[in-house]
Amino acid sequence: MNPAIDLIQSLLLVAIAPLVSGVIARLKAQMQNRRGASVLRPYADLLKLFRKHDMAPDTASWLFRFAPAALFAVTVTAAAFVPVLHASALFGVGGDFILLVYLLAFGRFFLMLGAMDGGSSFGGLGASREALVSALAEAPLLLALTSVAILTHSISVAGIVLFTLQQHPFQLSAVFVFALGALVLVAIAETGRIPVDNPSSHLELTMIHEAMVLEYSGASLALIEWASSIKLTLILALLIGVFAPWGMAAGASLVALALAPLFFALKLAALTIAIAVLESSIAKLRMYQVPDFLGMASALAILAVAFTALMR
Amino acid sequence: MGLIEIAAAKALASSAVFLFFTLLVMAAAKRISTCIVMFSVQSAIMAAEILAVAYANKSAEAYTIAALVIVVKVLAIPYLLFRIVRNLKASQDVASSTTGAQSVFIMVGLILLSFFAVAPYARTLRVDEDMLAASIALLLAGAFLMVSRKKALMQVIGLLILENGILLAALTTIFGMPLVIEIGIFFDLLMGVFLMGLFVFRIRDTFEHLDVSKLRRLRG
Amino acid sequence: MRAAAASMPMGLRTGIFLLSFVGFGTKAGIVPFHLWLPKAHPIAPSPVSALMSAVMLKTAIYGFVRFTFDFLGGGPAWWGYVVLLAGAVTGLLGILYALTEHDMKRLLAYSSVENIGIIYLGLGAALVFMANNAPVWATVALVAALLHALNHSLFKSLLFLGAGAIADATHTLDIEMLGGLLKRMRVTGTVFLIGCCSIIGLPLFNGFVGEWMLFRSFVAGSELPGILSAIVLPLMAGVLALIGGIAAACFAKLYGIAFLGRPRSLDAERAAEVAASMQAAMALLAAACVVIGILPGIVLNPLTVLARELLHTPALPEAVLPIAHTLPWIAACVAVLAIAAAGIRRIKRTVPTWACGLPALNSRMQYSSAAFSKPLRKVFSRVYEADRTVEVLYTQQPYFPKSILYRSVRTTSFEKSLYRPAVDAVVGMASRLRRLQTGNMQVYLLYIFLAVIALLVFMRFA
Repeated sequence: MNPAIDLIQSLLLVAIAPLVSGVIARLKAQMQNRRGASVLRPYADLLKLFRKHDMAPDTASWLFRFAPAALFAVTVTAAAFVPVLHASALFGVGGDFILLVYLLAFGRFFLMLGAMDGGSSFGGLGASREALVSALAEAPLLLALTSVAILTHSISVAGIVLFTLQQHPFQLSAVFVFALGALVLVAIAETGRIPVDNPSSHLELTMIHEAMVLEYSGASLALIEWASSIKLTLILALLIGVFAPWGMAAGASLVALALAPLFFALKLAALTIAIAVLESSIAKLRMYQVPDFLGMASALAILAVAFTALMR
Repeated sequence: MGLIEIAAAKALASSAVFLFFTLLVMAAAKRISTCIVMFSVQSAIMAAEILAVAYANKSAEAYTIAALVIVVKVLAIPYLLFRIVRNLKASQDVASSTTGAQSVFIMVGLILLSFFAVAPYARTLRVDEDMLAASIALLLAGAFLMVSRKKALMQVIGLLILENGILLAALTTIFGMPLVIEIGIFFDLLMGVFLMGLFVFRIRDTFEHLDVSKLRRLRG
Repeated sequence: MRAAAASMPMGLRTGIFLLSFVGFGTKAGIVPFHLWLPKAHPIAPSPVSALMSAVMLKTAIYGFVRFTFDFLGGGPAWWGYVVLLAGAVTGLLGILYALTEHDMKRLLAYSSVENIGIIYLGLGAALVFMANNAPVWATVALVAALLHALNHSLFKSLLFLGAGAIADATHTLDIEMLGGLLKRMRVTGTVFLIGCCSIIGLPLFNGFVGEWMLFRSFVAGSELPGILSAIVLPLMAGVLALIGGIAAACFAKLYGIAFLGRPRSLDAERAAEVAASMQAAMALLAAACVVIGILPGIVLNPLTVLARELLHTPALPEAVLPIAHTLPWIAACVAVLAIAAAGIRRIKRTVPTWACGLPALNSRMQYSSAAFSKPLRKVFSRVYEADRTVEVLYTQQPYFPKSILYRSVRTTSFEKSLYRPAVDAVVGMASRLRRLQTGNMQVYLLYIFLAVIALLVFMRFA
């Protein structure tokens, strides 16, 4: 329950987020038989963007200029909910999963509004598609986390991680399998990866997140890009913490705390490889197949919740 | 050694959950080979259950049945089905009449229904409620796949899953049927798949397609 | 009345419950008794609409709570399930209908239907908890419902007043004719944004606190002994999340189309900020929304005392208090980070919107309200049963039509499927009974004569 370590782990999440995006991009490039850019490229991109001019379209109001700051602030605050090195976080006791999900929804709402402020078709396009995906993804996300919260008798993220950490891997209820399935599907939708959204496409037919940020430039764009990598990293850290937290320091022993980042890095590396393989091997879904995809996640989440009662 | 034992015990205790998972994957599957693989996995899980019972009771009969399940259901029938699929050179599409999400929702509904149907019996019979519910769910899922998938091969797979469910129900309540009956059932299945293989080619050659919803001459 | 209710048989109490549910439900706007709401709210002047949504609907909630929790003292669990089902259906249908509207006040009216549904979800959960002897969680659910009622009255009246301000400035309430109002009506736009954030249930605004407590009580439903309640209550959390997700889409549409982007009509272009008194009224409500959102303890404490008195509960567990302690810290963190992030940038210039190198964009190239809601409307097309007509006027070649008229009308109507058959049946029966009225004096005397004979016979055998 050491606030210094909590602060360090939140800053760690924020700092390594661009690295995670860089690693995924490089792995995808290697799988496509290219060399790919350096894994530190996103940092260079952010530095470049922070130095560039920040331009606003003539239709924009103060909301357009404020939205990136709001998105960044909320995402960094959400990153302070997730335990990384030890089973507690800055907003540990009060940081429950409902607040986490709705904080992310806060950022998304302002991004949608900022997109529509540009007054172009792309903004409306991105906002309308994002509205579709987020409206349908919220229910399975909350239901899956509810089933996990019921199983671990705790609604705070730190509490969930602590409970799982204290159990032997083979003591966990099998219902976690369904919650994991549902959360993986929803995580793909929430972070905007293939098959739901293509983060590197700029064609009208295929973009959702990229369409929303088309009008942004300079430091605003840097904040938005950084916020979206922080969101990806924090969702990955959430998955690791909820389903495979072993390796985190349980007490305050220095040895355990020194080893914890290594374990986290290993697990994060495994997840990034999985994401890169997934993105390189399947095609992006058509827009109107995404509700089907999220429907499957909802069904899995409903089954997970039902099983928490049926398999007591 | 203790870790492996714990892992094995845990895996067996949650085999019902794994069976449900295979059912959900089959509901969401868009290709026939996925369904064949899932059927093979299901049979493997059931073979593991039978082996556990055999190990606990030291019964040779149970070992024989487990061996039969592995040879016939995990290896032979999927191999035959894969051969049929390959030789047909038809598309692997399942031709489902419900979308992916709808199938998964219906499957979830069937699983919950089987739990609610089984609840009173499980208590009186004093058997593992999860496994009994899984057997009913397999039955219903097999029937659902036969009804909703239009490819002829999917009818066979649905039937096989249904039979898996019956086998599991027998295993859970009366610890398996007598050996002779089991052998008879397995032969039936093998013959069924062989005949199906022959007929599928005849249907395809006569009608140039394998869509059962178009085979409508069976009318008075 | 409480004493009388305690001594009544179960059947009579069930009858009272159902009748009061239907009666108060009609006044509150439960589906399928909600038909009057979207017709009444838009016609009234905006301050009156605000009062209607804020206060009038809540009197129905008050009546229902009085009858069910105070007089009848709760009942069997199935009462709770009925209320939960009504709340879920009302919430979902309300927000789905709101999504399709482009008349601002009708949209807000349907959104009131949705919020009443959410309140009923809380009341249903409280009933289920009471039936299962869990008075602590029943209190939490009841407080959540009452808190949401209070929050709704604040942010809905804010939104209706905002609609009135827009009507005053632009003389239209059709979203498809608006746009770019935030630049022209800064204060109205800002407080309307606060209202939108509150109604969606974003943290740091008051709507979130009520929804959070509802979620909390649903998750706690898993601890109940009965399997049905342990499954249904957590699943209601999923329903609430779905309602919230669609509400976010709906209000992103409302705010984005009406206030952001380019103005779509001359009236919108010429809009000016409204009078200071109007601004002050809205700002007051917006301030209340934000204050309750950051420091919910202000209203939570009196509401908790009230609910505990109603349900005779000892004390609330610690579990529900963290939210009141956490939210101020979250607010502080977000504020500091947002100010820091906003300070980094330096806007250098304003440029025309990127139009892929083509000449300047005009307002018609933006997304319209119908376009924004199209994906969700398509997903939920079974609910809407849209009636589509497309009329094309061709010139010589079929590829260059002179005009295309596209009309899509939502036809699902409870009026058509539920009320009309019932009304027709009653009218049919009445017209058959009319044949008794022959107009002939002697026939009426015959009726009296037959009645006297029947009375004599009846008294002989009674």
